[in-house]
Amino acid sequence: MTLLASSAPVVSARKPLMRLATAIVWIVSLAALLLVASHVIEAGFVRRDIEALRAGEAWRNGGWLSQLVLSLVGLVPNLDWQQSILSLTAAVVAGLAFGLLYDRLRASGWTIVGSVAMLVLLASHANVLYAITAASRGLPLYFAFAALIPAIRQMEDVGDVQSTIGLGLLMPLLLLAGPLTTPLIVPLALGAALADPDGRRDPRAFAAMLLVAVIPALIVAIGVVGFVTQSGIGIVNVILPYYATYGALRMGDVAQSLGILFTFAPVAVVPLLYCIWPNLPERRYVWSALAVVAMPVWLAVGRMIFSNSMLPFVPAVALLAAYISWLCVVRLPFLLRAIAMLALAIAVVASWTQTGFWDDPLWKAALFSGLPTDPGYLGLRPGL
Amino acid sequence: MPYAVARHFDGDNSELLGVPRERTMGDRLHLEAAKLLLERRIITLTGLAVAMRQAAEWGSTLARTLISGGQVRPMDYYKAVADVYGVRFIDLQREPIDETLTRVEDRADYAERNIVPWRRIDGRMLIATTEITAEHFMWGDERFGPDNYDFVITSPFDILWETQKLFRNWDSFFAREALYSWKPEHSAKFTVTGPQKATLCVLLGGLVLSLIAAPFQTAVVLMATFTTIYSLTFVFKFILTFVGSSRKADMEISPEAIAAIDDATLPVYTVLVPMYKEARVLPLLTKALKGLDYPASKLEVKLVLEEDDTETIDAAKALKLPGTFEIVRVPPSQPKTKPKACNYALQFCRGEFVTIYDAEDQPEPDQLKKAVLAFRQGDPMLACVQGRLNYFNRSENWLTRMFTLEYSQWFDFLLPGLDWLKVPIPLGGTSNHFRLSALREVGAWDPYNVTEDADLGVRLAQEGYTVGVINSTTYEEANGVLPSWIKQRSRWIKGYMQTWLVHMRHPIALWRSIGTKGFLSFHFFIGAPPFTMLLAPILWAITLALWVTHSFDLGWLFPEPFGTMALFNLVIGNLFLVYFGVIAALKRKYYDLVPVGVLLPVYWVLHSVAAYKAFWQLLFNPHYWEKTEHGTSAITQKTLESVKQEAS
Repeated sequence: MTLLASSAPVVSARKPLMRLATAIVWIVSLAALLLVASHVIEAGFVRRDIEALRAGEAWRNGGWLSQLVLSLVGLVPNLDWQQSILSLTAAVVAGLAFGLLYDRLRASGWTIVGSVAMLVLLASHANVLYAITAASRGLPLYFAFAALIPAIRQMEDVGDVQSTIGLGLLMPLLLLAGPLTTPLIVPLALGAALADPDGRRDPRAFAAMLLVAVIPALIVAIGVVGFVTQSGIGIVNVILPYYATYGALRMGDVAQSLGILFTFAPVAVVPLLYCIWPNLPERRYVWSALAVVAMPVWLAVGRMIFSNSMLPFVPAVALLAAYISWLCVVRLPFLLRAIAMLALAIAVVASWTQTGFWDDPLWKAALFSGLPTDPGYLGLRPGL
Repeated sequence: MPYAVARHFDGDNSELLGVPRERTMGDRLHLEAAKLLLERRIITLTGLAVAMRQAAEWGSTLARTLISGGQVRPMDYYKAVADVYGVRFIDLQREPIDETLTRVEDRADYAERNIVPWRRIDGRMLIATTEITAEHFMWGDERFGPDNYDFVITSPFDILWETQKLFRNWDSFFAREALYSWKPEHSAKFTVTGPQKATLCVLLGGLVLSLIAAPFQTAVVLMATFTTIYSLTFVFKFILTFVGSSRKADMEISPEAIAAIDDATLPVYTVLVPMYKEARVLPLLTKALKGLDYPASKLEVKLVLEEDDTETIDAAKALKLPGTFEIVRVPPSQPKTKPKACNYALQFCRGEFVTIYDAEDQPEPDQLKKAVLAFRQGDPMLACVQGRLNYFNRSENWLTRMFTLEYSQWFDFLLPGLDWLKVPIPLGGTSNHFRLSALREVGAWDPYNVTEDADLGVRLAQEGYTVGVINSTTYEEANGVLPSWIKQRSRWIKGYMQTWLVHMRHPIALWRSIGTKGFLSFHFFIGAPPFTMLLAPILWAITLALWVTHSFDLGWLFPEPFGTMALFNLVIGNLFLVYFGVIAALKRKYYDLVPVGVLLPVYWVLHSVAAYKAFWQLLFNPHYWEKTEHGTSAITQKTLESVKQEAS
């Protein structure tokens, strides 16, 4: 809209839906990821998602969005088709995300080379590649974290009603991503309510803002109950994943889980440095920076003290997703940007070398099956 | 006694016989008149000094400044002007115009230039006017030939009143039929046209036949269609709300920009206030209008009153309003609607811009200046800027709370959303500010449409004009009385039905003129709401039958994917619509309304009741204007009391 000031009018210029460079990045990413995914399948690797589907895990762990996709894929009788559909879906979604990331990185002051390098590094991360080509059930979670960071940042920066709505509308993603991410709705809603100056002064305003932040998640929860009831799954199955997760506490190795997180994603240091870095080129937005680290830390801790089937590397990929999303909305000085790239490079190296924390030799074998040094893996095919 | 200024005028000659030309023109004329007024002790020296300073600051004539400030009665002022010219002053009410001398072709000139033939005496034409300038001579020369006429002076109000009387029937006819005569296809004089009737008959016939031949399949198709319309309407509202909630969607006019305005550059602004039997709230309105931050000498407030509403006319006279206020008496005729009254008054407007306020409106003081800035700095095709409406009595009862939530969503989210999408905006009933020339060009309001504002928004878009929303609010009285609310709402819904039917007479032409985006938004914003309100009770009944009684299975009505879509609409769609209502309160910081927002579905039930009443009226009484009663709020009463006390 025209912004009328005392001087000259500012006429709004509509942006194109997608820039050419963004489209190219998207297509190249999509093609590359599809090639890798098909290569892995061709090599005989069965996606972990399919294993979960075959084991009847769909609808049991509360990751409603991924379970919905898996259930739809389950309607296809042929295993190859199931694999192909899942790989295609993951590649298309990831490719689109890469295109968007490139566009936003450029908008945040990254050069073409820098942006492409960051995306190449991200795609080279073993856990990220695994998440796209082998075990994509975590994708909604990663997208939820990636989407929440700009929303939190907008709350800090703009603070208009659209920011509140935006954050509120993203909360259901946490609900749909799984039981372990659902509790994050509470601190985020509280944060949203407190972010508003009125919310800090006036209890009525606080309650109103809290409600507005929480209501979309409640609506989606009611919707899930409605759909589950209609499809005959039963309301008990909606509650069961939450009961299974929070019904009993266990004391797992929290330190090890955090160790995995920061080994595979040492990038956490960058947003922390940002919080104390002198002379930033923009106003400091601390809460979004802290959220990049805090949310994955919760996952890393939560997966150790609550019952769940979350893979060990999931918090690290969630951190990477939040991190790269944060880089898209923050303006960093050159040195910090260099550290950001270096940290990601270290993460990539660690993801391939630190096999003590997590490894899937079958997947790696399939991935490198075309390489002459390791032809023996071609015959590997895990049983179902 | 000679009545007129004898003259021999040519372009370069600055002398008028008898009266030197320099004395007849501009500031000197007014200074001479002011001197006379001083001598006659009608104005004080201090008052004159203040008026002169204001006239310089506002870029107005001393005449308008003195009269608008209430320092002098128009009649006294123009008597002094007549004395300066050395001509006779005529009180047109005592010595009326000879109507055989007037011509309908010159009607616009009489109103705009304050000039009218008065009488013929001793073979010479006498022209009544408020000022004698070269332009007036040219006007006289063209009509009566040089040396065949003289001038007399009168007040502009006399000219207005007398010409209103003279052209009463013509003006009234023009107000009613101008649009219909010019573009009958845009007028709601006839609710449906012949081809529309034929189409409706064919559709209804087809439906009946289908129901007889294949009842189940037809029911399934109908439900699928309804479900799809509901889903698309929800998606459209979702987009509008999200887009409109951004701060960027507001046409922000900063206080600094307002402060930087040079009053001398401001144009004349007309404010129309159509009223009927609203004598009670008049003091409130006049107080609000006097509070407008706009040079009084450039403000032209027209109280548009029905001739038979003597109560309000007398109340307005008793208030002894300053010279910026005029009373326009609308002759009785059918349809008796607000747009007809506005069209009637429009013929006497002289402002570059014109706006409309309702009787109980309380606009923010800088609204006119914001509108002027918006026009100056906006698109040249910007024909209208809409002020936001909200309520000052929101906490009075449940109904006023719901109404406030609804208006907040409408004006703070949905209209800015439409503006952002660059699609036709159905205007609100008041606080819409028009470029007068554009308004006249599109044929002004449709007097037969009971939501003439919404219709006008579409017609402006069809003619290539744009509409914007400014960050200025007019506070109104929320209708807190249920029967009155139903009346008002049924009129609005009926008007939306009329508007949709009118513009769907030529759907392809509509699509071509407003584009695909505009065409879709027209259907989702104007066509779909009345339809969904009518449909809602039927769907509620089916849902109840399905979920509560369990006595019969209606699942076959919703094959997939329509079953899922229907469930989505019922649960997620409806709850999100409640959510949008709730968040509307946030932008206004009406935090107390947030919890109340969960009761919006009850409010929707009332909408459906009103929709059925509207549908009934559309069939049997389409042009009937359900009058909204104002002044019922306790807050209004309290404010009125305080205004009266101040006045006394």
